[in-house]
Amino acid sequence: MSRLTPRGDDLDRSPGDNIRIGQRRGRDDKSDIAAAVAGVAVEVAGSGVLILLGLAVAILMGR
Amino acid sequence: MARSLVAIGYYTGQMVMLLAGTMSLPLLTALVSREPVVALDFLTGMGVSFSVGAALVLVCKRGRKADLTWSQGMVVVALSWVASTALGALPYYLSGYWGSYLDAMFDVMSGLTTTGLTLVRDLDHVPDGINMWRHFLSWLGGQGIVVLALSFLIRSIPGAFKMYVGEGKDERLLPNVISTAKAIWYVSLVYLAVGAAVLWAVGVRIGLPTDRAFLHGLWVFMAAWSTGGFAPQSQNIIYYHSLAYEVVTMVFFIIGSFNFNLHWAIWSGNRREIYRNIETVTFAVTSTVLATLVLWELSRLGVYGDAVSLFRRGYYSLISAHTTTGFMTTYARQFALEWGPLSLLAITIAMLFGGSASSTAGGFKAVRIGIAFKAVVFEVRRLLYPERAVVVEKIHLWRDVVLGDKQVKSALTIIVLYVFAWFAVFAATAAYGYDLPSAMFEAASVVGNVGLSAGVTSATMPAFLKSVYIMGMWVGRLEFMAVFVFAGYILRLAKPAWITGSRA
Repeated sequence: MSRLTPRGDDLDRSPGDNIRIGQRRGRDDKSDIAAAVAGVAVEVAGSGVLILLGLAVAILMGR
Repeated sequence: MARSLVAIGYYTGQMVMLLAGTMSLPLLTALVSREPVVALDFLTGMGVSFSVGAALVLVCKRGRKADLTWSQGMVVVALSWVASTALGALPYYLSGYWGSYLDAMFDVMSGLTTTGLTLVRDLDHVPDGINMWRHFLSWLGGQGIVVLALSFLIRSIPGAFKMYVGEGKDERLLPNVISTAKAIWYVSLVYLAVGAAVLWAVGVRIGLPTDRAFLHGLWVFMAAWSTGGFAPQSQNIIYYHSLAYEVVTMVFFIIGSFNFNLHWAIWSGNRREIYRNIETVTFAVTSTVLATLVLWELSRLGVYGDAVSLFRRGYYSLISAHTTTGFMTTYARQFALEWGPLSLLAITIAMLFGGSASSTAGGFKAVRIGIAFKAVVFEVRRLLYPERAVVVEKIHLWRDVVLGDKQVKSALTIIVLYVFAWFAVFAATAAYGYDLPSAMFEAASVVGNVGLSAGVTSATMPAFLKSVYIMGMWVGRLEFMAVFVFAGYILRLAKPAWITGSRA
């Protein structure tokens, strides 16, 4: 969004360097898998709502 | 200037070497599928790409420790995309399925930018190795070449964020840009496993042989997730004649058009973001309004006889356009000949609007449409309220933020640049005698990196127009800034400093 006015410093060597994916907030592998499964479920449900909305419009227009 | 060139050359060389490495997957596919000639094409491509990359790295090795400036980072990105297009086209050209080297470059740029337009000849008989390269390029392009490099090649370089921004992604998921790149791959690989497995199962269910169902599932998922739109058959998604296949692909290209930050927020437990975020709200509103227009027009014209056909053809096409995917459940000329002007206009607008920022999608991006709309609401409210009233407009983007002039200016500038680019491509198409609705449609598809076609894009189109389309796809994917900086850099190189009045 702010591409035209690059903001912020280059944080390439921020303290985040030591944060490894899967170990944020002290998570273990099992809870990481659970988070991924839950995330996928929420996103599939979200896109499903949009698809159902489209189906409803199609039914309405196709009558 | 020399120091700057050395830094740019070094990192571009690394990117090119990485491209050579990515050819190992199609090479392996060709070997497994017993396609020795295709395997040889990829070996040649790998050899040439690796040699060019290694030569650049060796010649410019002094640039290894350079701290990239903003302009250098952008030039590296723009140049890497050009070099990848030129070298990635070699296996295509050698395979003989593309009529010229320009056609092969067109398809590589179309893949990397996740557009999905193609000039390939006899697609239905293209070898597996080549098909793997087509879809893998689309997948890599969706992630971003820089994201790939930051994940697997470049351990830690000063200025990595500048390259990341140059590629059309301007927000980090994590405080560190390299961790962000890895997180993007983590999300995408999880979805690759899930999506390819589901499409494989559906493919077997509809009667494809198990091995073909697997390859089709993998390729179609790669194209859906990256909002690319390539498919292994010339009939695209029509080939499968399956409602289940269509719904599953729709689910994955809608999710593919989400901002990677949204994926990360949801996966980190912030699930309410999916219906609060300005991008998803904007996308839901614009897609519903445009779908209503498309389906009303199709219904009025009696193009499709029932609600299911309206959904499978009309709604699918609209969402495919809006997410900038380009999967087709109709034949290209049907758009121009049967769909009517209102449907065509709505699809064209959807292609220009596009998906979310920091995603695999193209177009204006939902966040900019949302900000532009909010800015209009803000101005109207400001006029309606007493002069002394303090009027504040907020948007929800990960958190509630007050809409400021800087954000509005930035969003509107990119939208205006997209419109200019669209008009330039439209004018070039119309100048060659194509009818105006088809030219408008195709130009939106090119600049928005969509891939739907009204029949203009073909191997027989004029070479100059092919070049314009390649430029249009490139500019649209990198969202102008990297390309403008690259052009400025070339001009600076070409002209003596006393003319430009600038220093390296």
